Amino acid sequence: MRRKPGTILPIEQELLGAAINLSSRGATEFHGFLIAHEMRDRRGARDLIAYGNLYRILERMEKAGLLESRWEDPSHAAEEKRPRRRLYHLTSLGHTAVTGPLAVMTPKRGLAGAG
Amino acid sequence: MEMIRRLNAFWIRLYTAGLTDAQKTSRRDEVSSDVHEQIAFFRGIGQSEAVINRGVASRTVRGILADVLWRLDAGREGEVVVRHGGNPPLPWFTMLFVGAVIVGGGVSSVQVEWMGDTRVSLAILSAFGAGLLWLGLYLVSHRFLGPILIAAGTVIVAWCLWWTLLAPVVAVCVGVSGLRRAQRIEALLESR
Repeated sequence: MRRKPGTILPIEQELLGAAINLSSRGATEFHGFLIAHEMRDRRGARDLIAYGNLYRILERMEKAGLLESRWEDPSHAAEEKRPRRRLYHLTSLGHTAVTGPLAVMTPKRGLAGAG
Repeated sequence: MEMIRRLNAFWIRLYTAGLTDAQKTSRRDEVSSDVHEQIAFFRGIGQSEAVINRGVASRTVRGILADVLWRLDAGREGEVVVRHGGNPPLPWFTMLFVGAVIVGGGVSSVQVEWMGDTRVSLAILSAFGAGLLWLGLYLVSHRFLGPILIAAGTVIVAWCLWWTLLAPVVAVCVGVSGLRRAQRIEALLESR
């Protein structure tokens, strides 16, 4: 679905809500799996959101100024013997979007693979 | 588990082929990290390997449409960079050309009377070679597939058309100019 200026998609609203939840528990930054897991828990769904959908949404939201991201220090990831994470955090626009002024667009069809 | 991970990685390599290094690295690293975290988390809570495998496979498959849509968008960004450098590869045209070659080759291969004619068979094969060459040019920034397809396409065209005097020379010239063009496009993309 194409975004109209000043609007936010329901799946984006859901992601922002999950980010706020994480933030309230002290996780001001999140990576892909963490937000996917939080979204699943909030929704009470069985499956995590698909990789393709999640990263397309995150990229779109970053371009819209709702999120910002940075790659973590590779040495930190190497110490923990895992791939480096891309860490996202909500911008002030992202916080505002959760609480209200941006209108939520009604989807004409379901987001394929979001589950 | 390793096989599902590899299939996932292969799919990402496939749909990010032909993009800039920054685009490729970013998407590959991000999904690879997600898969790692997913496996580590569900192993940590004692889920079976089969369930974890299904989870990774399911997330990959359900996201295919979004991956393809993302790839089309990302490809357009790269195209703009290439156009500024005066080397428009026109991916849609390339794909149309390759599609026509494959459909044409498929139709030709069921024409039994044609297959008895060596020259027609070689012409069909050379068309496949040309298709591979074009696909290689489209995937030029892919470090592995680009050069392999360009080289394979050139060799097939040259080998199939040996029976004409001009064809091998033309094929080699096309191959060399294709490679030089490929290097220029790659340099442009990487200097972005």
